[in-house]
Amino acid sequence: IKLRRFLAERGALVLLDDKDETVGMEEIYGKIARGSYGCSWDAFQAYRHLKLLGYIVGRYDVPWTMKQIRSGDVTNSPDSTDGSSQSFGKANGACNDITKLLKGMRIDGMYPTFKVHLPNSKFKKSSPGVPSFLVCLLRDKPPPRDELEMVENKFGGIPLKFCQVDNGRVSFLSFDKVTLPSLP
Amino acid sequence: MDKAGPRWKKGKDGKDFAALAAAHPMSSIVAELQSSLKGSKLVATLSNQGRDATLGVNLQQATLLNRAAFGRALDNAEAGKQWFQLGAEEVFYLYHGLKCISVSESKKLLSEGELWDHLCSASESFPEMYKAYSHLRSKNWVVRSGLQYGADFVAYRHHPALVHSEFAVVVVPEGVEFGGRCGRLKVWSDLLCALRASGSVAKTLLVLTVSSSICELSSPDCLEQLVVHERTITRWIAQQCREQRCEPSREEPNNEEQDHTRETVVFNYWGVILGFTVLSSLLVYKLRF
Repeated sequence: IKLRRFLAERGALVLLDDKDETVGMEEIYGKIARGSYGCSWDAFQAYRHLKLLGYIVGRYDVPWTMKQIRSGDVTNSPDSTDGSSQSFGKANGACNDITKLLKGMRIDGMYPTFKVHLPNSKFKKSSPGVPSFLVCLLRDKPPPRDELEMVENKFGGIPLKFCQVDNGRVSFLSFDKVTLPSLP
Repeated sequence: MDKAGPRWKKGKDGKDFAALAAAHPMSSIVAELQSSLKGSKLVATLSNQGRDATLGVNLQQATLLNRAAFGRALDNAEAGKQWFQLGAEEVFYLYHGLKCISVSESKKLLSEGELWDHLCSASESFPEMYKAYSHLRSKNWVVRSGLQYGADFVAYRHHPALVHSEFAVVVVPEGVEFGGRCGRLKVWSDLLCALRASGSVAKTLLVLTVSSSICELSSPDCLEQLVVHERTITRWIAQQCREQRCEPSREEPNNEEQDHTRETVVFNYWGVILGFTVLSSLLVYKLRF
């Protein structure tokens, strides 16, 4: 959803619904506002911020490639590094698989929303490698220490960035556990 | 663990303060101070209402107190003696941590429990503040008040004359035993304010969460049960880290404005491209016909 909306905003994508009628921006914005498919305004703004800067961003639980990619579709998620893809996609079979997955996802405050790779022209969806970092979206209050520890333990190894969105202003914070050295 | 490394100050004639600090480690300065004060059996005088105490020392001890960055020297004309004002955490650290002074109030020597009670009643948050202070001091960091920076403490790698402080320290109590205290950093405005304030003075925001398992704060024995968790909060600037893994930036205010400008530029860029495409197709059309 986010990529489609992102591309739709850019005027690069025309979204067609089941009946092959064009889905307008109003309807897309409405779907986002309702939190359909596990997508929220905050999540979208974080996604958009990173995509505009050339990062490779994917939903954490959604694989980069779908098992069934119907032939004839121009690739549904052109993750080109400059984000300026002009390809047109159709909202049909492949998208339905994605929406099924997204509906099943839960969006809690302390669960990674995105996996992010640094801009890389050689990025391959078939073998993406380990993400550079994961992004967790934060809610109305800063995360308490025990929740931070819990999420760090679950996704150990990969750095976590925490995203706070305020009126379109996207901030990324790191809450790193440290051990101050004992000095001589 | 060093994010940007310590910022050593510059000495006259290019003196290397880092080397000077390495040659005189804080642990040995503090040890020397401890033995000197212990030998003199000094008594600090606690103020009745407040949290501060005064301590009279000889000149050699005054030098050591200054070198170890404890207290503040008071101006006076008394020959051969120097008076210092000590903060609550400093008094208790010299008394309980280093065990090198006694403390009196209204000319009566205080026991450990009495001193603890006095300091806790003067300041509700004394237990966690002292725990954080002693935690850092025991690792030989120099700890001073951080109120002017909107933090509880600032932590220096050595003497403040030699190095800028690296951390603005905010202490957050955690646990039922701390009662209904208004802890810091519970809302975004407070956290981002602390982050901005520390960033504007080139310090990393260090959050020390002091948690207690079942432990009563009514006696200093609880100090052993308190646990200190260390965490830094840093801002990550997406624009700066596209090439490689980079260190989080301390200075963030300008970058946020750049962010908005950048997005406007991107939109304008598309406008230009579109306009150019339209114009060139019109031109082609005209030339053909």
